[in-house]
Amino acid sequence: MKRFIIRRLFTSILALVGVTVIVFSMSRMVGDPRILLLPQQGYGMNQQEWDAAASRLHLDRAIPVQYGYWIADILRGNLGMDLADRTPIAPKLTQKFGPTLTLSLSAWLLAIVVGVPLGVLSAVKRNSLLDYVARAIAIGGQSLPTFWVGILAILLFAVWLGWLPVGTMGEGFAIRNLILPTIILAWLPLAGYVRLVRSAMLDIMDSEYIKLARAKGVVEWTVIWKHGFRNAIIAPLTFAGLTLAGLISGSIAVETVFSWPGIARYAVEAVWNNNLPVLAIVTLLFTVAFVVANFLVDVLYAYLDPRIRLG
Amino acid sequence: MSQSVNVPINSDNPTISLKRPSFIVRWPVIPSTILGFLILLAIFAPLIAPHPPLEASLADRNAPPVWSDEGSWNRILGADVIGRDILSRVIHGARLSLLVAFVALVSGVVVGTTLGLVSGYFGGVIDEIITRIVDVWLGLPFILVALVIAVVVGPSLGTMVMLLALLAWTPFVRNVRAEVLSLKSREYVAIAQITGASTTRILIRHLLPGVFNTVMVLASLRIGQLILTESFLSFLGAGIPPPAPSWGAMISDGLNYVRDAWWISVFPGIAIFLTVMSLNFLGDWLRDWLDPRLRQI
Amino acid sequence: MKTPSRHLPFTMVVLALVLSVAVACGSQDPPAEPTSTATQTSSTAVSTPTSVTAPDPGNGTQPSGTVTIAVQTVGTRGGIPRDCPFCALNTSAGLQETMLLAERTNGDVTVQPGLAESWTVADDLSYTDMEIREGVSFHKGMGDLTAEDVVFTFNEMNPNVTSGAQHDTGGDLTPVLERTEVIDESTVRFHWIGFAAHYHLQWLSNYFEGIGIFSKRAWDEMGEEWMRENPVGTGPFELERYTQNEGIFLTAVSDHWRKTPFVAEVRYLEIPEPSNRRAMLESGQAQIAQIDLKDWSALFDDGFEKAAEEGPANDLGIVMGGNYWETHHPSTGDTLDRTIDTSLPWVGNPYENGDEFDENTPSMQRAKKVRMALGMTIDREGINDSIVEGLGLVSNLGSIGDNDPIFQANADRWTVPYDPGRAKELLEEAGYPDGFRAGFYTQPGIEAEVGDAVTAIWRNELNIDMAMDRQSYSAWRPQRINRTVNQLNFHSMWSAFPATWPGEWLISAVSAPTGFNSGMELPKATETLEAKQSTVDIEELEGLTVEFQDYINEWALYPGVVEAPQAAIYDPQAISEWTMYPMVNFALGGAKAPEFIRLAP
Repeated sequence: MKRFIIRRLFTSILALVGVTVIVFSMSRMVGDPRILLLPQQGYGMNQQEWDAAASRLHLDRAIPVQYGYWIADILRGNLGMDLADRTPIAPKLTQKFGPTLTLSLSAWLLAIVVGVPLGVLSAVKRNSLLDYVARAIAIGGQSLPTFWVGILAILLFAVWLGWLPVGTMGEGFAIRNLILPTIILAWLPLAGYVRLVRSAMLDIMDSEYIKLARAKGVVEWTVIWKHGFRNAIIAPLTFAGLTLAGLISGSIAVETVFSWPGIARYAVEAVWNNNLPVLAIVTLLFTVAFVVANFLVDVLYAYLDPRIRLG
Repeated sequence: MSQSVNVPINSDNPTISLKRPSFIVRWPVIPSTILGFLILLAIFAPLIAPHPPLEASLADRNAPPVWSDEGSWNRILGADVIGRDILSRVIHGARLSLLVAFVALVSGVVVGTTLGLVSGYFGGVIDEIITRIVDVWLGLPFILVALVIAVVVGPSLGTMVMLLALLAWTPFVRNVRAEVLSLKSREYVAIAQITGASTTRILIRHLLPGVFNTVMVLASLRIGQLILTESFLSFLGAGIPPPAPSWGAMISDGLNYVRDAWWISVFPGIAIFLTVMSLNFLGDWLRDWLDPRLRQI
Repeated sequence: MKTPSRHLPFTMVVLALVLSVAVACGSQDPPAEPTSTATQTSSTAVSTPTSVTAPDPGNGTQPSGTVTIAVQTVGTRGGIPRDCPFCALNTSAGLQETMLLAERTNGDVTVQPGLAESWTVADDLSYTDMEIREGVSFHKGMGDLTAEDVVFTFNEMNPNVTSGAQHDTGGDLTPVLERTEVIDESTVRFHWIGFAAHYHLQWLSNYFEGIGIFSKRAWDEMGEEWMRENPVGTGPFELERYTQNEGIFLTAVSDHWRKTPFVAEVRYLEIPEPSNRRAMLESGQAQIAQIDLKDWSALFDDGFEKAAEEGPANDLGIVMGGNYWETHHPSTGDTLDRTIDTSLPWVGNPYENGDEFDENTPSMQRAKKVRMALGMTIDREGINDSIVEGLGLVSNLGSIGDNDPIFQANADRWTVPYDPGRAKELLEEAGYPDGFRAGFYTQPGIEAEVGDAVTAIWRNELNIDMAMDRQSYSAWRPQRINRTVNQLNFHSMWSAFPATWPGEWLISAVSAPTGFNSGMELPKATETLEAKQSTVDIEELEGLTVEFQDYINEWALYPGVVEAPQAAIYDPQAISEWTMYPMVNFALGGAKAPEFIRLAP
């Protein structure tokens, strides 16, 4: 187990280093970063300022050295400046972390709380109305463009029916404002959970082991939840990493459509404003979240299923 | 714990007890019909579409579909902001969206399968490097990376194909590699090695057919995701440049008008939904038929 | 559907008036009658403060209630004077105030006293002295306004004084304002590099790019970091909270020198999706919203109303990108070394026959025909009636508004007929009988829609295949800075101010190397600009303008399409009164002067 964890830790760190190289290259591909420092209107910089900016940004050094400076700054907690208003990025990330976390966490919880039982019931009551509804939800979640559904949902529930407020975060912890974006964001991972749990359950329920339990006269309820479900739940666990990736790309759509002041929207805006320092940091942040989550999931999985760490 | 724990679950493969479903019974008729219909539309778009997709007429701005009060048969599904025929654009959009997704998928399949074969067969350092590259790539938030690339390269049809290909390749590497690892130990591969077949020959003649099913299943499940991603990138402004009739661009053009002219964005949205849904059904069916072990994808 | 006849009917009046201020000077004059004719030059723009600008004792009650305003973006925080890329927000939101205030009287815009109570222009026009109003206090206990604060603000933001200053207006001030100086504790002197008649209105009032006054004491006592978080001003509202991507939250100052607000709280919320802004307005979640033009008619039908003042019209002129015809920088004399890509059908190279500018080279003549063909194949009326829903105004020349008095006097020469037949002949003569392929850059929104419509007509009539480029403006903009534009694109600022103002720098090499440029560098523009900046004589300015527009028209360098209005829309059920200052700056979606918003009981 220890060897497995060390090995996995090593590969995770390797992945992180690889990602920083890619992110840094991205930020240099766009061209001379100084162009981005020029004000939107007006007469620009004179030659001295231009040169001063170069040495301030280490542009006069070789590219690998520039990368070194960049990494060193990040490791020291100096995440750089937001080009839009030239203030440090770090406090802004803290500010935007809350809304994103609230939204993703509630969406993830919703996906699990609804998706897993729905998957189980759908498998147990195969070909019932419930099964069809569950599968329709799953198919919908995987086949509909999130941003499109989001805007149509606002139109339906906020404008025509007037049940919920039009997408904004609202002030304080405005639960009514949270409902719609949470459901839209949760739909894709929920669909994933329904499908995975359902097929895992079907497999388990068909297995000799369950048949034996049934033959022994174990109560059906116990068969389903104790024997079936406990074994079926391992499969969706591996799905956690993919869920996170899905939540990240999903929150880009949802935060844009619902005017949600979170990190994903900050990043999209950074793309449009060529705000590369912000973009690089956010990309890095998402990647770290992803790599760390995958690491934890792998360790947990290995702990639950000994075959993994041997293989 | 009840005694039943003593009976081991099939430790190698819990799904092995599933009988391979019969081809005829589980074949998804409706999705296949929809998809076949869409493909026909795509191929014969210029013959079927009532108008050229780019032909605009300012007088028909936001004309409603035929069944509404002011509708006319000239604009069966209505017209968009500058009076282009929605039906014609959706039909030509099928062509563009399917083509882009298909080309990207094929590129992804070729690259991913090759890397997977190489990685699985040779193992060692090569395997390690390829696996790590896939890890890194999977760790990146794809949409953000795609947006940056679109900004750097400039949006175009080629850029979109490239971006989708970049999204498509990873699962092929992982699954083909795993498949090759198990095939490698099979007798016929060993025999081929002993009889002195070249590496290329082993890879192409012996291993490639073995991973074919896996690749087919993965590809059918992946293509829907590519179509959705294309539409999302278009929504974010990094898609295939207008006036090309891509479904994603049509949706994002029309979303702003959804209150007054819902047909502009709703019909291409339905087209995407039907396509992706049909592909998902077909993918599920292919998987159950060809390679049930891929259930957990 | 009515067509609002906004857009500067006051061109001449403003110039005449401000000019007269310059010469006759200041507040010593007796209050004059409001002027309404273009010919009247004897009066002065300085009248007694009107009901708009005067402190309103009739307000009586304490501010109460909250108004919510949905805008596309709230930009970034106010910043510090030398580093304030969205400073126009501070004055627009009522957080900070300008030296002078713009006022509309009988359709004309004049300057009124603001933080400056009176002013005097030097006889040789080299400086303006301003007397600072007494008893104006800064927020957060930062004391009263002094001459020090004004000088601190202007010098910190002026790149001529503070190297590398990045104020949103500062860059534009580079050729205008040399420095600012304290004369005594209540007098400030503005040293002009070259004085133009409209400078007080353009640079010192809240009309164009209003420069809000920061507190020097806050800078000295609290330091830079604090000040970035707390942009202290003298306005009728204090900043309670600013959160990027979320909103600006303001609270009323209860006893303001100029106007104590009616409402206690103002919330500008950032709602990027236009359909959501409309939905918020309709559902009552917002009382004011920045609304796309296409939704105006429907909202008017439902009883919503347009704010009293519109922003500048969205003036869509087609820049024939790539015509970089200047070889040397007008002021430094440096060689410019531009690439002239004559494979672009609309681009001509005047240097094909040697180093001398020759307008008769084959490519110049060919490109001229292509540009003329493009310009006359724009169904301006049709686009105005459909895309702009009849609310806008057709525009024949991108370099002058169609309702500018100078255009109207020359409309017979400058009106471009819609004539696809003639255009086809011209394209044939130019060697493109089967059309060509090229690119057209547009930003999202109305610009993209008008661009789609124009290029669709070109496609139908001339078989021209335009790929629309809609990448983000920030990503595309470096091409403009680097002078490497090779696409057609929309740009114009002339609808915002009169054609006699020197806007030609937009299509001249004068702002090279790192300044803004539309995508063309024309020696004629530079020449006109230099001539305009060396005179304050209105007839001479008019003459130069006519000559320049004749040139642009003859060479079809800047075809106009349409001018689409912009304004904030509000709910009159919720808001009973909302007077405003005139503006040509559309910060905060035109939802400005919140101190004048009175909620319905």
